[in-house]
Amino acid sequence: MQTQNTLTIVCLVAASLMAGVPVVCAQPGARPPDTDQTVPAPRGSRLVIDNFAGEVIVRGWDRDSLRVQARHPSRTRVAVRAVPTGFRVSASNERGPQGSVDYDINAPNWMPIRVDGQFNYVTIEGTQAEVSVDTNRGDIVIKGGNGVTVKSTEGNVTVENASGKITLSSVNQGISISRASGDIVAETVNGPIVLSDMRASSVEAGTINGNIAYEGTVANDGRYRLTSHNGSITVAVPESSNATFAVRTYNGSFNSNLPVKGEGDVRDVQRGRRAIFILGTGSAEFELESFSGGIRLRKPGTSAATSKGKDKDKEKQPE
Amino acid sequence: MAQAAGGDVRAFEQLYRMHLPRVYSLVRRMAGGRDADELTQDVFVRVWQKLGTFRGDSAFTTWLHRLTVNVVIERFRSDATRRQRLRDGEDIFEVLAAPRHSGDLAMDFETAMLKLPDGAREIFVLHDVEGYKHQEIADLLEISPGTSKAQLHRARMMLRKSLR
Amino acid sequence: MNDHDLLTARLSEYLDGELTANESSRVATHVAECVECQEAVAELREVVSRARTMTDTEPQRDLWPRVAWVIRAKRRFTFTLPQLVAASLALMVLSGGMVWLARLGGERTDIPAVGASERDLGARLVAPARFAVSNYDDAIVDLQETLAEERDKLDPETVRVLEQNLTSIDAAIEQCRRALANDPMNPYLTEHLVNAKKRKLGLLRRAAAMSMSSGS
Repeated sequence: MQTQNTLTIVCLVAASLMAGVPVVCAQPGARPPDTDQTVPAPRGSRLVIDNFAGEVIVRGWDRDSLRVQARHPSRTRVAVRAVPTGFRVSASNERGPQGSVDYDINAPNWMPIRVDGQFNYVTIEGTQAEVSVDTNRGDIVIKGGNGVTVKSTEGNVTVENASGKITLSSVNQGISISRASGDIVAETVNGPIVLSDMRASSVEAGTINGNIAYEGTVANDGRYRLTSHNGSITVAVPESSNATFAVRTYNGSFNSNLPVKGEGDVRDVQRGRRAIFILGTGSAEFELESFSGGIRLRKPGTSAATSKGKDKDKEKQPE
Repeated sequence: MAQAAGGDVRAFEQLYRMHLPRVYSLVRRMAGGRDADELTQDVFVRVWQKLGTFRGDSAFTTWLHRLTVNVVIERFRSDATRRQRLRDGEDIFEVLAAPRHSGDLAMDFETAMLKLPDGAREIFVLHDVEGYKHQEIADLLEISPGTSKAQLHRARMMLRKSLR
Repeated sequence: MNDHDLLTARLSEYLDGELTANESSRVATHVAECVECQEAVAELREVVSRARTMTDTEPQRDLWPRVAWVIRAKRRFTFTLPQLVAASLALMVLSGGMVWLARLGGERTDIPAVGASERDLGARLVAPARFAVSNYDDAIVDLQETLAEERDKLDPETVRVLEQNLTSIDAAIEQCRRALANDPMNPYLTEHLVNAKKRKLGLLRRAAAMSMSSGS
C-alpha cells in the first residue's frame, strides 16, 4: 500500500516536472517502465517495432518526437535505433530469450508504423499514416490509419476509422471493420467478417467457415465481393442505393427485404447459377457467393430474424 | 445510339427496351421457345459488343435482325443432327402429317408454329414471318435453296391444321 | 407419286411465284380442276397471311439485369475468375498454347474467343481452370513437404491452429469436388474450387514464412 502511494506520488511529481509530456501512469500499482526514451523524429521517418511477444500500444500524437516506454525482464534491453528509413525498436537479451516486452509508444501521427512479431496484442490509435502489423497470435486493434495491412494467424482483427488501402488477413479468428472508406480486402479462414458503418467503394471479403455481414453506404461505382464457403452473407444497405446484386450459391438460399428487381426465378439461385437483382439504377456491383450458406439482402436495421413475414416488399424465398 | 456505342449502359438499356419485343419474338419463334430468354440476352450482349461496328449503311433494325438470326443459328449449329433433319425430313413429314384425332384441342397458330420440327420452323419463320428469300436462307443455314423450299412447304402444310 | 401429289408438293412455290411460266401454268390448270388443291391453296395463303401479321411479344421475365451484368463485366475486361486463371490464359496465348494444352491430357481446348456470352465464357474457361487447379496442386504439394520438414520450428499451438484450418479448407475443397463430380461444367464450382485452393496455398505459404522466420 505504502509503495503504491509512493509510486503514485512519484508519477504525479514527474508529470508536473515534465510539463506537457504525457506520462503514462495508467493505474495505481502499475510498474513504471523499465525503458523510457524519447527521440526527435524528422518528418518522413518510419517506425518499425520488432517484438517477439508482449503487448504493443502505439498512440499517435501531434509532436515530432517518438517516445518509447517499455516493461520487460531486467536482463532484456530495449533499443530505439535510428535506421535509414527512420527508427527500429527491438529488444534483446545477451543471456537468452528476450522474454515478453510490453510497449507503450507515442509516435507522431504522420509516422508510418509497422509491428512485427510472433505473439503480440497490438493496439494502434490516433494515427493518420500507414499501419502494418504482422503477428502470429494476439488480437489487433487499429483505430485510424491511412493504408492498413494486418496479418494474423490467431487473433481478432479490429479496424475502425481507417481509410486508403486496407488489407486484413487472419486465419483462425474474425475480422471486424467499421467506419472505413477506401479499398478493403479482408480474408480469414475460420472466422466471421463484420463490416459496419462502411463508406467504402471497393470491398473484397472472403472466409471459408464464417459469416460475412456488410452494412453501410454504397458508392455509385462501387464494387463489392463477399464470398464464403459455409457461412451466410448478409448485406444491409439503404433502399436508395444503386446496386446490382449478382448472387451465387450452390446449396444455400437467398432472400431479400430490399425492393430489388430480379429475374424472378428463385430456381436460379441454386446450383451456382448467377442470379441478378437490381436496386435503383444498379450502378454499383455486388458479388455475393456462398457454397452452402444463405445470402440475404436487408434494409438497414432489419435483421434476418425480424424480416420474416413483416415486410410487404418483395421477398424472394426458395420453397 | 451514339451514346450507347460510347459505352453508356443506361443509354443501351433504352435501346434494349425499344427492340426487345422484336428480338425476343424472332428468337422465340426460330428456337421453338427453347432457351428464348437466354438467347435474347446473348443477342443483346452481342449487340453491345458489335455496336461499334455498325456503320449506318443499313437500317439499324436490319442489322439487329441479322445479328439475331446469326446468334440463334450459331447456337443450333452445334447440333450435328440438325442439318440431317433438314435433308431427310420426308420420313418425319409422313409421320407428322397424319391427321390428328378430333379429341385434340385446337392449337393457336403461334403455338402450332413453335411445335413444328426445328428445320421446318426455322425456315418458315425466316421466310414467311421475317421475309427472307430462299437463297438468303440457304446461305444462312448452309443448305440448298431446294431444301429450303421443301421445308417451307412442309411447314405451311402442317400449319394448315391450326387454322381450323 | 402421281401427278396430283407432285403438283401439290409445289403449291408453295406456285403461291410465291417461284415457278417458271410453264410450271406455273401446269399447276394452275390442275388447281382449277382439283377441289382439294383449291382448299390447300386457300389455306396456304391464309397461313402466309397469318405469318405476316403475327404480333411481337415480350418475355415474361425482366432479362435486362443479366444483360447489364454481363456487359458491365465485359467493359472491365475481367471475368470474375481468380487472377491465376487469367494469368494462365495469358500465358497460354503468349506461348502459343500448345505446351500448356498438352498438360491438359491432350484435350483440345480453344482459347476463348472475345465476345463470348457469360455462359460460353464459363464453359470455355473450365478447361484452363482445371489447368490452374493442377498448378495449385503442385505448389500445394511442394509447400506441404517443406512444412513437414520445418514443422518443429513452430510452436505446437500454432501448428495445431494451422492444421485445423488446413483441414477446414480441405473439407471445403472436398465438398466442392464432390459437387463438381455431379456437375462437371459448372462454372461457379470450378471458380470456387480454384479459390479454395488459392486459400490453401496462401495459408501454406504463410506457415512456411512463419517457420522460416521463427526459431529465435
